[in-house]
Amino acid sequence: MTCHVPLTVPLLITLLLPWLGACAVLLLRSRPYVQIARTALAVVLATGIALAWAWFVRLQNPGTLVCLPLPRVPALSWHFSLDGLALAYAANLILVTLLAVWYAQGYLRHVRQPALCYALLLLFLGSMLCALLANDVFLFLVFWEVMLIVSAGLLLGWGDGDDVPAITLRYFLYSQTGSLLLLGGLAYLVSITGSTHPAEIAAGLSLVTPAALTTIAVALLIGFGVKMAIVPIHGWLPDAHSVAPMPVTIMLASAMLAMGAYGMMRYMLLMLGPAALQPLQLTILVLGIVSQVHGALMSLASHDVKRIVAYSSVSQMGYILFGLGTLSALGAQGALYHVIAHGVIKSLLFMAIGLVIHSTGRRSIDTLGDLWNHQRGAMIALGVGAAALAGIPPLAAYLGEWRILSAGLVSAYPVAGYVALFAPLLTAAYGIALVGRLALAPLHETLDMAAVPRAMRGSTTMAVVLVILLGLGSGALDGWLGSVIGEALRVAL
Amino acid sequence: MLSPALGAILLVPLIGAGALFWRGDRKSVRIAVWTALVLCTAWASVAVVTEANPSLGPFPGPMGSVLSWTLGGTSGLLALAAGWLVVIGLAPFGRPLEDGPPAHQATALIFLSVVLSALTVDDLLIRVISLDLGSLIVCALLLLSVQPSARLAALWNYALLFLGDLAFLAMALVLHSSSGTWNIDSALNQAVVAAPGVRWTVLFTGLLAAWVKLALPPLGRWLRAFGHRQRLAPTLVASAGPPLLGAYLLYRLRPLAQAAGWPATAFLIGAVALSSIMLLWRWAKDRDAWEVALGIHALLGAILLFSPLYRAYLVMFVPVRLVLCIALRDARQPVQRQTPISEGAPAVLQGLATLATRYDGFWTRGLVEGVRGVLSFARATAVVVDARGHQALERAVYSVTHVGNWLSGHHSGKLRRSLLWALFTLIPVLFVLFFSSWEG
Repeated sequence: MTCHVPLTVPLLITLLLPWLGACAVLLLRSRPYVQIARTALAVVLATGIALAWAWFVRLQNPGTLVCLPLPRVPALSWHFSLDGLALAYAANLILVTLLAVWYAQGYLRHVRQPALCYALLLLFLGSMLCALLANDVFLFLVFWEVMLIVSAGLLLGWGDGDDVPAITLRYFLYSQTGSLLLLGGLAYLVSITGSTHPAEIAAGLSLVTPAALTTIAVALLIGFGVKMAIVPIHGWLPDAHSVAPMPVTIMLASAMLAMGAYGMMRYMLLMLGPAALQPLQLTILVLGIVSQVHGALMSLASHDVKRIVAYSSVSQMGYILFGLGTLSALGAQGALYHVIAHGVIKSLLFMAIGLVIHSTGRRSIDTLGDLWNHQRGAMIALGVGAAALAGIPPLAAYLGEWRILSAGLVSAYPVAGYVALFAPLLTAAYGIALVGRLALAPLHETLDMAAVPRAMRGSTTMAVVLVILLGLGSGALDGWLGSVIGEALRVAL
Repeated sequence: MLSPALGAILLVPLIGAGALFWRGDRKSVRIAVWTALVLCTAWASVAVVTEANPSLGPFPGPMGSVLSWTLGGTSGLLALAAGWLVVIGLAPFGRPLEDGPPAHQATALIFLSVVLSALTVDDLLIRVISLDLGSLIVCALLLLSVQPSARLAALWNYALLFLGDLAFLAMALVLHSSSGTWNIDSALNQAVVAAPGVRWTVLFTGLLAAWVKLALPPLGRWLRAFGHRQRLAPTLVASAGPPLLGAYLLYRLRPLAQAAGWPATAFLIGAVALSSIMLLWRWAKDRDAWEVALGIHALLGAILLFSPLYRAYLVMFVPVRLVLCIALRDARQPVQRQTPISEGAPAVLQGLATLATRYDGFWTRGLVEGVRGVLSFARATAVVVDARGHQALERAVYSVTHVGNWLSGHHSGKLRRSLLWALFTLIPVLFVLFFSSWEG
């Protein structure tokens, strides 16, 4: 692989900043909390700026690949690249992290060892960023594992409840099983094609027998499906999302689930190619629909407000899987759009729920109500988030959902498309149930409302603005994502 | 092509809504907003007959579509009727019903803009967006106008409205996938000759969406929720807004249904029969005149769909809904026998009404005295010799005034005033109809 120098500096800064920032935050552990929190926020902001710089340089040097000047480890080359697909995911990741860390300024104020918590949040960001930009399948797997370990550490260290160790272990086992399947599938491909670079692997796929290719596709589907929490391998998600502190929940739901979608897009749809996934297409579409419906129904059946929103992630990942399962540019474009929209919307929903939990100290929907009169701002934010999730225009998610549903209708299995058309109704139903119960249900007792820190209110307001702006700017974003997917598929095919 | 008249009628309601939200408590602001609305609606009405299809666009839209708005044809007439309806409803004097807080009026203005956009745009996706926004506004108005304790139950009506929107979205996506275009006319024209599967899917989803918007049973619960509201904006918006869009959707689906042949007719008859039975059941259950009357009006449209009368039904949809809505709302109000019909109307109108009352008394007295004289003459000339026959004739003459008294006793002045105002809706509609037919 040929390496180009011009992109190295900005991309190197982008990749290293979160890791260096984590170290800096740890060094500040004896300093006041505000200083730690602001440093972490500054690091995320700086990473975003560095990413924008890297993309600017990339536009002037198309096709550049960066080789970091690090010692070569056997079977591992430090190759990173920044293409449109990686940029879309990385931008979403940084945006979500920015919101989460800003929100954490208020939410994590009284936790033990806040410096370590912030450092792990930055490492979480760093590992995901490196996994996204890795241009080497083993490099990707290494950072994938780091991401798993860091997130498990955050759960174990700052989770809320008596079952935290058991829930963390379950999360770890699910994720590890998925990772092993990924490792097996990708290692087999490397052994056959003799390369660890996705493009070269894709070029050498003719050496792999169709049966082996299908088996690898199944392994990758399960591996990435665990991370996306696709039914029936979603068992880790509701508990993990429920016990994690809210900023971590935001990162898990809005950024880490998207990593599964990225893996499917990059290593299944683009690397293996749509033809290799054809035998699995119906399975993927059905899994997508089942996830949409099951997640929504579980949301309707849940009592814990955090669990309700957590289960909605299962449902939304179903949309994304369905879009990818159509094996078309239209579906992939819709899925990519929905990943970004879902990231912002889910952040908003968890933030609004966090405001409620923080001020009331309650989580059961049976003990909450009449919040329209007590916490109107949070209810408006929750309403905007729920409406956006249901695909109501002109909020963030509508265009992605439309593209996904449209792709379903013109797929090889249009019946699946027709069935999926009515899934948004369930989304609206649990949105109405959640917002209606919290905002309007009569409450026959007095609520003692604690004051909400300014950082939590500010970040939630920012999330509301982003949800609206994403919707209003959907045409431009959709156009860009269309070119990204078009280019990626052209290169892959 | 940029038609300033069309741009004005689309944007002025939004700007007016902003002004009402900002300073709606001031009468001067309300009058200014209303005046602007009158001017732009009148301008648009004139533009319909003086310009050849006033339009806005083309503009790039979502998912690669090309947007333009056109104020012409049947949808243009409906748009104008909706505009005049809001003009009448928001008049800062002599309102047919209580107007409620400025937020209600502002929301009604936003809704008008959404309806106008839905009726005039030629793009399927923008129409979907407009319908979605319309549902949100209807739900917001419902929440604003019910008691806090009833809001949670009211919120669930949104799910039903959303079902209609979703069905329309499904129709739009199926139309696009079969025709490759987002343009409504092209997509529907191609659907007429498309495979039966596509045609039936479009028909079914379209009818589902129309049934929800028309609030026909079993999908009419959302409109029932408005039946007990006393405020003007929620009542007018709910009873005339979404149903108008539903009726127009039926109109657009008509060629498709005709192309589908007798099975489509049979399907429609079945749906109408089901709704009729459910309406009868509702009537027997709780005698809700509001729901049944609006339901019958909507059903009438479905029955007339294949006849040439449907266009006339459509054009008269808004005025009829206005009259029905006001009459039915008013029937629930306490009788106000002493309220003069002209109360709250402009001074000129009040003066004319007072004058008419005086002359009415004069004529009545004159009539009665005249008849009495004639009868006396008849009796004197032995034309009528029977005393009982004489009394019967006298009663018959007096019954003219009795009918008037009976009407006054059984209806409030507010109702009559409202009906009078409702009649004014017809003037601009007839104006446009006249000029359209003249142009045509």
